[in-house]
Amino acid sequence: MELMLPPAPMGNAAFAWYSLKRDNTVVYTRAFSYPREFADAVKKVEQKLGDQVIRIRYSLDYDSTGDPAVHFRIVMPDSSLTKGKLLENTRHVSFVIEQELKPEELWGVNPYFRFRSESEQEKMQEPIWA
Amino acid sequence: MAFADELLDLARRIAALDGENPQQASLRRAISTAYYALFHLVIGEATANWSQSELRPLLGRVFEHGKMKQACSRVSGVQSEIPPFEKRLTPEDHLRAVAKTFIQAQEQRENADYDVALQWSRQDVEAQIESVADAFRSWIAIRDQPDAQEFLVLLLGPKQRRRPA
Repeated sequence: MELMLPPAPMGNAAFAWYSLKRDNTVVYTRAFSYPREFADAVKKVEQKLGDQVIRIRYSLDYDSTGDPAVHFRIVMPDSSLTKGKLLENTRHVSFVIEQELKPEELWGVNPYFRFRSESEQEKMQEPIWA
Repeated sequence: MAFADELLDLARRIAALDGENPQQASLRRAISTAYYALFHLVIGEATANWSQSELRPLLGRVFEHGKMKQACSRVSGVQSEIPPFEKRLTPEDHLRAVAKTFIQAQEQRENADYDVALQWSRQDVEAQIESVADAFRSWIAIRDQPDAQEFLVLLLGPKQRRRPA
């Protein structure tokens, strides 16, 4: 079987990342090749979300099944994470990120989402969420 | 109460332990238990189709986490928006909610069980649990639909999806 690889990226990447997925398909992981551009794209989504989020942090790595992934850490206002609004608001934020960023389609990474309220982060003081 | 429902209920109770200062161990167990609630929900539904009930537990052991995740990622439109439960108008909407939640829950379970560097907050955990509870509601809404029944078979990880006649 012949593997059809996408063309090598143009621009300032030293080399392109290709990953072999579990089902033997080859994906071009643009987010790994262009981390700065990916960061800019995330920043734009963060701005679009406005006061619905305090900030968005993330790690580019691999998921538990070995596929390229982005693990988002999203700090949200306390008022957005009250019992009645928790599911709706977290779903909405993750949807906007997926819709705007298109992590799988454009960047070759599976998105995963975690959420924390501003007061929880103040208490926990975890640098990777700051 | 079915086993999957018991697990979901247990996840909620574990997440609520320890008052204002939840222990990381409790939060991690809650995340893991919520994933297993959904895992056993769909396996229980799939094996219930097997007519000899004494063989259902053995059949359930055939399911594999990785293949189930792959099947979920192949559900059509799994990357699209999941509307709130009340606005899910089609079986496809509900199936997407189940599949997407399974993918997320499995990854968080791996992190909760194995990555000791990660810290969890209660609201993060509650969001994951409520997402699983929401997937339960969606599954119940479509469990007898043809697409849902086909999904159960695909969770076993056949190499090729059957082609329509």
